Amino acid sequence: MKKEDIVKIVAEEFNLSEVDVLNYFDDIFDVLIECFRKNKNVNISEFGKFLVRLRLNQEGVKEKIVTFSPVKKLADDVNYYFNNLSKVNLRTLDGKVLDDIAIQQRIDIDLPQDFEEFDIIEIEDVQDEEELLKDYLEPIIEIEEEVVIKEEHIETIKELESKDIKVKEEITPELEIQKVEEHVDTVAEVKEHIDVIEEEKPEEDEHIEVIEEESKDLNIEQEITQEKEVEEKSFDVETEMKSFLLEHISLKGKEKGTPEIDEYTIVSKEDEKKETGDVVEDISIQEISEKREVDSEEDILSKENYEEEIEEITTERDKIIEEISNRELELSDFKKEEGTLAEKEEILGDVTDKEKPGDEKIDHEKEEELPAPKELDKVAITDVEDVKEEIEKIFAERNKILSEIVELNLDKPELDEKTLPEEQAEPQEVIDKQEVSKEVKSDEDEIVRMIEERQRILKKIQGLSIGEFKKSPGDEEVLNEEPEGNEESHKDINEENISKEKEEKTEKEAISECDDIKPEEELSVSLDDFEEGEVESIRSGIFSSNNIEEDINKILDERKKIIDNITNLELSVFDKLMEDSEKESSESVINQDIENLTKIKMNLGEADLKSVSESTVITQPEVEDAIDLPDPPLEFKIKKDVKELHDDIVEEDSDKVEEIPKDKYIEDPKNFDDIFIQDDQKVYARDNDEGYSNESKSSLRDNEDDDKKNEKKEDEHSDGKNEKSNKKSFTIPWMILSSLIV
Amino acid sequence: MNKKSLIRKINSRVSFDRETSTKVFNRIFELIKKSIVEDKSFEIEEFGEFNVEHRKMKTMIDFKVKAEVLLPPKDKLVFVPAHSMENRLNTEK
Repeated sequence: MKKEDIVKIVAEEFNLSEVDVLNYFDDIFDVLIECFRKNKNVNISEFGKFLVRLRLNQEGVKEKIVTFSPVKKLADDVNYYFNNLSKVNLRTLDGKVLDDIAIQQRIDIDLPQDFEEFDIIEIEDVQDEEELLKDYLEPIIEIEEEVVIKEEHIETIKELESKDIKVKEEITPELEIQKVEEHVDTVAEVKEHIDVIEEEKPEEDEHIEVIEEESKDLNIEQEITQEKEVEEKSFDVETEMKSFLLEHISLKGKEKGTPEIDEYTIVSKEDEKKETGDVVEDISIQEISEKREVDSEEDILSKENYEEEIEEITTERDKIIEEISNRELELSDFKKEEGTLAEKEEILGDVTDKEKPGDEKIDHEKEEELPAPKELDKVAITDVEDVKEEIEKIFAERNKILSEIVELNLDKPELDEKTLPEEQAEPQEVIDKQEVSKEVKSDEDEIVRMIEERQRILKKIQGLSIGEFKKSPGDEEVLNEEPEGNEESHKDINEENISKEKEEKTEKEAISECDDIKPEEELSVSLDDFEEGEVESIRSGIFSSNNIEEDINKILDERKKIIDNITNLELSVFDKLMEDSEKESSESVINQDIENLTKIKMNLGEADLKSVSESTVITQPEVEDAIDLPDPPLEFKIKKDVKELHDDIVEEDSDKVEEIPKDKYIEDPKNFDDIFIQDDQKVYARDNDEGYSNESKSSLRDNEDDDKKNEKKEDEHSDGKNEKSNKKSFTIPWMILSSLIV
Repeated sequence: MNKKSLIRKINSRVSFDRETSTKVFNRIFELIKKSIVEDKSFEIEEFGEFNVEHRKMKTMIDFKVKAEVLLPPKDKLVFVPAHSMENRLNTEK
């Protein structure tokens, strides 16, 4: 109900216009608000009390608040459903539980007395008895319907049970046939898996074929035994469960495609269909589920065994393939090396021909001796050891052959140098350094190497000297010295290392090659420029292209260091010069100050300023004569005063000082008093304390205070006797200058 | 202030008789009570709102009895004054 509804009702009841009633309604609450504003509580009988209260706001300000407390009747009407409820004493403060009371009261609370009364009220509201009867009769009818529904439900349950039985009879054979089919599929898939393994194996590896055949035989035997068992056993629930569990194995195969079924499997299907139908009809589903749970573990184990065996076979197969591939690679390497040697030397041909069939024999023997697949790990280890032994034998034979080649080369040195390429010569040196170094041949090879290195070094140095080091002439000299020494170093090496008989030949060859290579005459240098350490390094063969680069880098580093040192020296010299210039500038500043003073003197007048200048100049010797203290403090003070004056002049524009109007000074002053009198507007003599304005007095007091402070400072450095003379000497020019500045 | 005084003040503004005004006054408040009980809420513009709030049962300590007491649930009538009225009370003079 809203305000408008109330207005309409009242207007209809009392035959009043709605506007009047509405105005009356509004006036009621306006009057109430006015009463609240006047802090008057309003009591409306049969409705409630409006109380006005003061409350502190969040901001700390008092606010008026109106509260309403309804009449008891109104409150009871509002709380109609909970009026009969009362307080319940649960327990005393001592801890005694008042269970009896609590339970009783709770029971009273729980009892739906209120709701009974509520029903009665509804009945009171209803006027017709028929409606009441309907209300009471309806639940009875509902109960009858429920009973009917229950009966129907029972019937439906019975029907469903009968149907379920039929469904069991109809569905179970089909499901079990599917299971049997899947089991047959698994057998076919295992065969396919074996075929796949057969296809994957390489044809070359006979050893692997033997292993796989054995593994196949094992697997096929197991599978055949399983199939026989399937035939022999009557298709009990256990076998069906096994077949059901074997489905998991065949899932992967089904995803790829349905396998082909053999005649054997088709026959077994037909037999199974007949047998399974009879068996499953007798057995209930609960029994089947129980048996499945019991037999599932055993079937899983059987499946896992199949999978594990297949995995083991595959892993072993992979290992064997890897070993064989490694062997082939090793043998191919040896064959290549031996083949190259056999082409050049017929002696080696016989040896290699002997080795090749030997390897094949070994392989055949191994293949024959290969054990069952479970013992393949041991076999693999033995094979590796055999291979190592073979390799060692091959190395020993190879070393013998090389030694023979060396001997042959010694007999025919000229042919060997030309025929054998450099690529073959290098590995010979690597392997037989100790043996060959004793012989003369090694010396010749070393000489050849040294000559080659020398050529490379010379080329690099030429490139560097032309390209990088043109900018720094000092470095060119350093770099040009090194290659010049190389030639002589080579000569020294030849003299020391080569025997006397072969010195001449080698020197001639080296010199002939060097003459061909020499690009410039500048590279020839005497031994005096070459250090002993470098010669030794060249002798030991360390002097290579890498060492040259390192030396160049070292030279560059030294160059950088020298440049840094030069820059540091320049900076230090520059700093010293700056310090000297500062000293000179300080002296020059003093001189400039003196000059400024002289200018001021010129402005003031020559005659009197002479005395001023004398006062400034004369004070120093007086102090020196009078006081035993050292000079520096006084000089420092004078300089300080002069600097302060200079700074003040600079700040206040020297032009102003120079361009003092003529009215401010006297052209020919006779006494200082005249000056002070002229400037008495702002500067005054100390004796004349009269006629000061307030501002001028304050300024003078400040000046006097400053003077006193200065005097105190001076007194610290001077004795009491000479105080008067010093005061006079310093005070007079200060006053003059201050007057001029102002 | 009583009902009578209130009706007097209202009569000064309205042209109703005293009897009619009292009758109208009583009837208006009867209808308000009815709407509060039935609808559990009644709103008067620029004055406030009467709401019925439910209070759940709770345990309290009654120090007179010196025992823990379980108070039953109840519905309570609450008056929520309007902001406009609060402003008028606190600002206007």
